[in-house]
Amino acid sequence: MSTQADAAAGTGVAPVPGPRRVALVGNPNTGKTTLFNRLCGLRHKTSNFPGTTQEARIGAVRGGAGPEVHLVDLPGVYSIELELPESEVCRRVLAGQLAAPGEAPGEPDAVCVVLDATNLPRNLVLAGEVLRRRLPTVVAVNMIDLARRRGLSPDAVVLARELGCPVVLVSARTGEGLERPGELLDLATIPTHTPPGTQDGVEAWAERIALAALSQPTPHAPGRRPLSDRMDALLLHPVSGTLVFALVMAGLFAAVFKVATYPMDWIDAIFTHAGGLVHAVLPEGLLGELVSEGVVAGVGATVVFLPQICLLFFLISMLEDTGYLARAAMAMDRVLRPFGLPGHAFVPLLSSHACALPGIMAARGVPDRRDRLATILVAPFMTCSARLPVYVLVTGVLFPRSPLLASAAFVGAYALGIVAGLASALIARRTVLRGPARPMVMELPSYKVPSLRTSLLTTWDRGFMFLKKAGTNILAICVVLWWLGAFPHVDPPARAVELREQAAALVASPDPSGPDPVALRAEADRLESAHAKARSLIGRMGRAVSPVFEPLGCDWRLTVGVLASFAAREVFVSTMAVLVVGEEDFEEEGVLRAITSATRDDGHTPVFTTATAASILVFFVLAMQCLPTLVVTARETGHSKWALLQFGWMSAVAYALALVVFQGLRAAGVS
Amino acid sequence: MTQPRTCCCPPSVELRGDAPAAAPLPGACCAAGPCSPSQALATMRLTELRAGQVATICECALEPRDASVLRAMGLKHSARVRVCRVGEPFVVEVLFNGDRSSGSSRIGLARPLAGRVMVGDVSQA
Repeated sequence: MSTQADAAAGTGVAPVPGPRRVALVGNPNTGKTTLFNRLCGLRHKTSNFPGTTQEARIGAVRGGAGPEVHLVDLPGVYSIELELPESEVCRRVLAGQLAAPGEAPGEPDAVCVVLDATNLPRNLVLAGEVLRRRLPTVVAVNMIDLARRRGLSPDAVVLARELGCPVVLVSARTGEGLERPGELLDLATIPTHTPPGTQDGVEAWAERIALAALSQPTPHAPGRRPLSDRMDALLLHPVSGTLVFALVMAGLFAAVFKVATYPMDWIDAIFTHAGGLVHAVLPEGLLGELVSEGVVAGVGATVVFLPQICLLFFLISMLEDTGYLARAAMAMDRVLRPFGLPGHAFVPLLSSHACALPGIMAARGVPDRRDRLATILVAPFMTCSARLPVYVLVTGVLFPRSPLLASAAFVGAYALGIVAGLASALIARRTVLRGPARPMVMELPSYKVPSLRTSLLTTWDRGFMFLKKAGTNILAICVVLWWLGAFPHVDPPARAVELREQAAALVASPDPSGPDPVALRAEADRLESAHAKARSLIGRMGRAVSPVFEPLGCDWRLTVGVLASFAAREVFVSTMAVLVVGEEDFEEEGVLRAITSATRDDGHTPVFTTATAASILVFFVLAMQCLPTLVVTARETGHSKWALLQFGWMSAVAYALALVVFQGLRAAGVS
Repeated sequence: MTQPRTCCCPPSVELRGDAPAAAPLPGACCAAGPCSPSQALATMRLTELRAGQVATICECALEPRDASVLRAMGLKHSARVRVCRVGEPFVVEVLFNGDRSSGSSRIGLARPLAGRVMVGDVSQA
């Protein structure tokens, strides 16, 4: 790293041994996250700074001369002196008043300031604010490859001399200047100069240094309109911009729902095979039932959606990296504004189509408090991937012989969620969140080829979070539901005993004209299981609450499914699987088919009639059925009253509309 | 919201309390008296510019919090900006050292916000 050596030499100060904790500071869109990923790879964890809504990513950097470095990725800020939450986090971390989870309190041992090489004057203002704190600092001038393509060649030696600390020219995207990542952070030294203390002073100081470092700028040829202008003219135009937006979103969701089908089928096959293996290996009894009916069927029904979640986050990350997502947010401002939401809400609402949790966390980027609260309140209306199993199940019931109509119902469910969310935002902004709307301002990053590495790491991060949730919360819910469904043990019904005796007699003395003993045993199994489930703890609970959900067409099983889904809606199919498996032969026909063909206690009425399926679909589109979302809403808004409002409003809207649908269909003669 | 400044004096120069809000006279905004001819500019709203025109920001007549965010983003008094796109949204490029050769950043603004930014010294890029 010759540039490092040169720059370090420019300060006249020898590098000190590597620090233990290094804070990564920079403007938004400087490639800070790409640099973090380049330095840490998969060796990082994501959480929140204690008592704040700001995400804290802490990574381990190896390869330096000193001990291992813990790199703390601070929020991207234009200034650490602004009265914004993200600026406050940066100020407090640098002052030693706030530490990332698991890190010892106190000032960081060093700071790495990331500058955008294509926009040094503005970025140097932030560098000046950090250097004033007199912490060991190293400056990474990132996107040097892009700057060179634009004819900009910042001089690292001049920058190091003027800033009074080591400066390295890097490209986190290509790895230039980062051949030995650990060495970059080892270079940090206490700055030899102190920038001016006033805002006017530090801005003039930054301009002077930028001019000195860019002493030989290449003049741009006048005349031709820049490509970025032409791209913006296309992408922000009311007609062409909307068309491109529609195409991009159609492509995004087509990829998510088409391409992801293949790995989803593989995962489904693995879990089905695992279920069969468990049956074969484990002895019959409670343990075998717990593993096959509780764990494998329940968790498998959730994990099968991992490919969709990963693919959605991968594509969103790629789009963000190209610079398009910021344009889409600007273009969406004019669409969302009439509903009281800013264009900033676009990314959170789009992310909520994968999962409401990252969507709500992404609402931190919405600068106005009322806008942010409105975005958080309506984000769970967007169809998240957890609803997909229910949509697949129910649209299949509604239109079993018409995939086209089933697809239309699927799209309609998405549209209903969006319309309900926008209408709710409008109501909220006119009532509980009344106030003037803040006009939108946003930096539009340079157009560039997206980084595959960054997108893959983001996908890994989000996918791991989902799996963790499936392996903890959902697994626990499945086990509890299985236990509630398995106890207390009851004697088999007389009809089942009779069928078994009949089957045994047929095996002892076969009668070619008589019934098939295997079929008789299967019918006995179904009757026994239904009898046991109906008298189990969960059956009793379902019966106790079913009067509330009967007007929506639910029997006790559906009532239990709906109730269990209030913890996490993806549990619905798992719950139905746990309730139905044993009654139906799911290994032969698959879990979903077993659920849709299940009958109520009378033995002939389907659990899912057409009217019930439509009602359940509307209910699941609109209802707030995700405990983690409520927890995150309370945390992000800073008050549980917003989570309670979200829960109450969404549940009331869902119940009312589902009631109208079921009763309306019944009145129209649809059973 | 502050009265629009009709000159390119630094923000530290106090504004006249009775400065006319509508059709202000160029350079008649400072409490200390009229500015020199070089400081007094024929100001206009940013939204009055055409795509491709370059101008100097004289005043951001915004709430202090919004103005400080714009300032941190580079949209500050005496900054040169080039209009990239007019309409909704309004897109400008903040130029360093007067042109794009030494670096720039691109900012999208809602049109009502752009309408509160006063500019002068207009030229064609």
